[in-house]
Amino acid sequence: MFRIGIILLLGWVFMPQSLLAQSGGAFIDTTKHKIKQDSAVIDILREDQLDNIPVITVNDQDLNDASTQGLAVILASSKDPFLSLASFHFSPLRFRIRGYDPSLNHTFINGLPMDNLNNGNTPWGLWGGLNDVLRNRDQVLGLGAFDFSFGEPGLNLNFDVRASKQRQQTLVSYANSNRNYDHRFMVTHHSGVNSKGWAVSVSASRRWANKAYVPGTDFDAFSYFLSVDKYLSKKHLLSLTVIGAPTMNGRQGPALQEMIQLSGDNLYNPYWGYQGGKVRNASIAYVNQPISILSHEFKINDAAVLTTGVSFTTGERSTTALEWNRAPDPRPDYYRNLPSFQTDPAQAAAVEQAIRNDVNLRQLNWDRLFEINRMNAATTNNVNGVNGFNYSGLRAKYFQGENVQYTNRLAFNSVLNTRISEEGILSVGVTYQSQRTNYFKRLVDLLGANYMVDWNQFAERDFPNDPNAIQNDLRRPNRIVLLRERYGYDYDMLVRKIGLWAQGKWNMENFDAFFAVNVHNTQFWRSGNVRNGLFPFSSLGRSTLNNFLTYGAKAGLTIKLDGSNFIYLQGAAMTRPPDYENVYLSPRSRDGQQTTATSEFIFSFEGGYLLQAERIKARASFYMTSIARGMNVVSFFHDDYNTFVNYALREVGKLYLGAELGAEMKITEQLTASLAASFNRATYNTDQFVQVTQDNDASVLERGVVRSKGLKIGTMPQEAYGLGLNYRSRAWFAGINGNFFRSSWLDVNPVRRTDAATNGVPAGTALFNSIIDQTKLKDQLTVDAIMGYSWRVYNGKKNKPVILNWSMGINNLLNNTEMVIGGSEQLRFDFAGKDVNKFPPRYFYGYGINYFTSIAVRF
Amino acid sequence: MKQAPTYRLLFGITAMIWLFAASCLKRFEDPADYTPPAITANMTIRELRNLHTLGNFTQVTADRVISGIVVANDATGNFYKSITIQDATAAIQVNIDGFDLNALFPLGRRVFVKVKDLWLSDFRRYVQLGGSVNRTVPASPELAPIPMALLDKYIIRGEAGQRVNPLVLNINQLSDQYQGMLVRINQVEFIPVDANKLYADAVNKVGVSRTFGDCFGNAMVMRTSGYASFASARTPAGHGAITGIYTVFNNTGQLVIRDTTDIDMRNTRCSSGSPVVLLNEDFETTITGGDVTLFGWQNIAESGGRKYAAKSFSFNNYAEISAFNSAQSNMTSWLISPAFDLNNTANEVLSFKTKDGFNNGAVFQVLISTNYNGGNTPWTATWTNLGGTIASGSTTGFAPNWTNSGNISLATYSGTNVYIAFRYAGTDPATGAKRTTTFQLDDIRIQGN
Repeated sequence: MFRIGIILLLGWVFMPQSLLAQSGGAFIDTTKHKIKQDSAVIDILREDQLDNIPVITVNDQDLNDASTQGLAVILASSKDPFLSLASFHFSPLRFRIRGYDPSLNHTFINGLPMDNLNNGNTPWGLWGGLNDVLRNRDQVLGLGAFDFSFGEPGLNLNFDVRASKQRQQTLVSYANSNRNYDHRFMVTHHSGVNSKGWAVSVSASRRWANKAYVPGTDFDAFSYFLSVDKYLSKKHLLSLTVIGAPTMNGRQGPALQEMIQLSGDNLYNPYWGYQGGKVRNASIAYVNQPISILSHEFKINDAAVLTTGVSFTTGERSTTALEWNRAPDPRPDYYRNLPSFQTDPAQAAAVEQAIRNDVNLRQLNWDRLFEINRMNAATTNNVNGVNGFNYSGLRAKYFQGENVQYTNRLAFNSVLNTRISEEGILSVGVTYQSQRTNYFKRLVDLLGANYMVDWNQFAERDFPNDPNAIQNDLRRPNRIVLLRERYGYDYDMLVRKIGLWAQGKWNMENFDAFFAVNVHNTQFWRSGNVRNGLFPFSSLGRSTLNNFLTYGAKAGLTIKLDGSNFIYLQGAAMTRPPDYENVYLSPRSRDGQQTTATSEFIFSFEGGYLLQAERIKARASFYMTSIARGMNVVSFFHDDYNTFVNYALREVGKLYLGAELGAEMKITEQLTASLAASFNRATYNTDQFVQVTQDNDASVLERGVVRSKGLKIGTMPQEAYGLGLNYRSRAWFAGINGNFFRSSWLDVNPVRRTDAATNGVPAGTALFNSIIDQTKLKDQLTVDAIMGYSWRVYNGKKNKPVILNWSMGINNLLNNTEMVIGGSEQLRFDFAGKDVNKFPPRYFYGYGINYFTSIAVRF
Repeated sequence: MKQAPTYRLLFGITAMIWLFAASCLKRFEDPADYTPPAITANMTIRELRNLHTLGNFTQVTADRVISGIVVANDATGNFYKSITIQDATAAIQVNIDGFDLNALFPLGRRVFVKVKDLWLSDFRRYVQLGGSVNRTVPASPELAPIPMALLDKYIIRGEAGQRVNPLVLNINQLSDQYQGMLVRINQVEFIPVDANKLYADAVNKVGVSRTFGDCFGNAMVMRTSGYASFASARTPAGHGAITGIYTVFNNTGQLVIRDTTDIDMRNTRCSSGSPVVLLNEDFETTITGGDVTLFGWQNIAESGGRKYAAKSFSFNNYAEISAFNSAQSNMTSWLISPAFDLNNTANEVLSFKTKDGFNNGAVFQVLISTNYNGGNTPWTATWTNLGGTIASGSTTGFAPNWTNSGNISLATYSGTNVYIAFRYAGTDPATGAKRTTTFQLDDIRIQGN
């Protein structure tokens, strides 16, 4: 994929010069978002800092770009006074706008939906490091009219990255930071539209950190962007865009409080250790999924525009993971190796001292893994399905595998916007999305050994005498696995979605109104590529086809009291299909799914007051969103059944109730005060039903109820308040901002709220409460500061000046290191002893004081 | 042109950025091989053991180092959370609180133990070394193993691949001084009642003692844990040598093997005394209602798709096969025993019981093979019909009583992988003669002496 980018880049350089002459007047379009040069700098700084936010992942299976899970990014230059403060200053605490799951946000590029069809999340990392081309955006928060599709109840964004819509400019910048990455070089050139109707935008950047803020993490990314536009005529605009951002980063794992105490570091990271004296992270994420978009805009006449586009995304994302087989658990935070596991206080003290003094006990001891592998000379018989073929060598007890998702995603969108009257605009659109993801494991490092065998080691333990049960691939039993070969599981998930929507907007003198409807049909199914020994008849081949017909309607009214005061009210009711991740119980081994797969039903309404006066902009809103009949599947090791189980949850209901206030007041010409407040109550409003199946034979172990009603949705601050003061002159700017967060609750483990967990414990006792109570996290206070300076250098030959910007942002000035920004209760529960501290929660803490500074040249 | 230099400059910068382009998979250099530190023993295991008085918990105060070679570990599950190390003078079991210790301490690895502050104790007179004493129940204190986090504090790992030759001793010579040591006893066999029996109870995870002895009447116990990976294997019926760790349980000496290769008994037994049972299947462990599924047995449908079914009548389980209602023009099914070894015993005989029902001429044979490979295609091997008395004559209804096959001699057959098969051949065509006899089979027994 690098090569494609470079070829396109070279092509651009050597294109006939005539095409790239001085931009003419005829084809220039006003950009959607006119950014004033000066105010842009603060916003750009914020965006850059947001781009540099840490990547945390919530669980080992989560291969999505968690960089923006729960974040509304790149909204710094939003006109909305609440979003422009909240999106930046609240993001270090992983604040989620209205508490919504990230799948309630929807992102488009050039009108094409970019969501990942396995869970509806936006893969932000796929265009990371390309801030300079993402400046044109349309955004709608909530249920308002959105011109590109029906939209979701959360944040709907469209980035117009077409070259002809970009302001003519060249930018070169270097940034330095100490957060997710340390250095960033970025070069961008927008040619603007020339007299022949061509426009070209190019951007490339490199971001890296050898040692990022969190110990054991590093970062390395290269981003490239090319967009070529051509006005085929005054009416037809054709645009081809290629975006890529291959990224590699070492990850951080959630930490036990005990390890945080033993290591003395809130940012304790269990994933890394020393190998030959060098830091090596066992969990490294790789993403390389370039996107290409072809879009066509047809100005049918003055009143109608037809925008059509098709996009194709392809590539891999993967995370490495350490695996072990018949060897001691290598994890430094394995509960049996910790002082808390010792019953004798003297031994506990000795263990604690040993761990405090030896980094190889606190972190992964890679050298020992090699030592063990190098001693394991073994012979495996009847390998590769051949009787009598015996393979000898060093068999790996520890090895590094990679969980890979190889995705091909196609999207098509066509929207017709017509002005039907002086006040009314009608939009009609059709969308098609299709995605195939191949999930498999790949062997990446044998850690000093020669080979590994493709067996299911848990089946080896559970079915020791069954030579078929232990095979991951019955067609190639006892397969020897060497480097870069696949093993374990191998299956495809396919999704197809087609939809129609229509929207009418009316702008009248005293009020605005809109109405929108949509209908979608979604299909998904699993296609296994190997015949699994535990499930020989339900692993290979196609599963049943799941089909969901969903629809929705929304409407809204804005009353214009006068030119600056508005009152609005909007409501929506819609259904959404479930994600296949929440339907299939254990897709790695079989195609079993929840007994009934239902669509979610969403009902939402919001309303508020807007003030847009000369010196003050404000918005006060309230909202209520209810999501019913959701589903979820989690898998974990069940200590009572002593085996892995799948927990299939349904009737998951969520209720979000709250209010937002945002205001920006110009105190003087240079001084602006801003305020943002969000008060939210996000709870589970139903008791969920659970069916527990045994993972290695699909038998149903129990059915029950999870007493989830009233539990708060975690882990995020449900209330956030921010106050800021900004000074802006022609050359200087500076600002300070204080933020207060409260009402943050730790994400729950559904197992603990079932009768099975509280069985035998009388209600109301301290023990009972310790099992079912939800942990409330402490309130937090942060202070952020920004400053910057702008030089203008007039190049005598040109009219356009060269602008040099320096900016700096320091976050968390108070160095508050006690902020819990993520984590959850462990799924494993001590059924025998009912001790919630045997498998305590795991946490992510926020960064202490950190900075981002950049120097940029624009001309 | 004025534009050109800008573009070329931009391209140059871009190219430079690309030159720093992200590398693909991160590569790390393998670390150097593990080199054991320079450390020598200054105490023998015998001296360490002498510090202990039976029945007490003794904390070692001497700041010394012992050294031994690993002769037993948890690789097969027969030992639990421990390794046993042996030097020239003695051996001792070291208890460590971890699983899969064999990965770090494979057999043959030299290990140094800094004994200061460790505890000596004994369980039923078997001396062990541990990390602390668990006194949570004051009336019954227990030796607690060394925590994994403290491994490096007490145990230094040395070179792997060291040889320990087992001490060759007679049953009468074994005594407390050999506790923990690797010994080999030659010219012994399992007593008839313990020959060809399961090593331990893997189903209920219960340990089992099997007695072996020499030809002079001296006997000793071999103890196997229910958690051993070889618990479901069968003890050999021949005569030869057994190697294992000598342990004690109160006043009983016992041998604990590391895995089944520790036993090599392929010679003929001491005497033709009491019978040795090589095979005994009464189908009582089958689950009725489905096909016969028994560990080690093969139940194969050669044609017609039907296998022997597990049935029960009058509190007795048996196997049953029939072509009745199968609508198959050719129905052939095999029930094949596990392999057994005829070379260690003599005068072996086979007996079994059958019943027939609605007998219209289907074929039921008992066959023997020495070249069947244990796989899915038994018809490709060479089988010899053993004959025997098979139930017949019940043309309408079922035979009221079981027919005994009589003693079928297997004395003329030899081999280490011998199989018995019960083969049924019937036919249920739409037109033409049907052979759909139902045969029931039970109490299959082979014994020799």
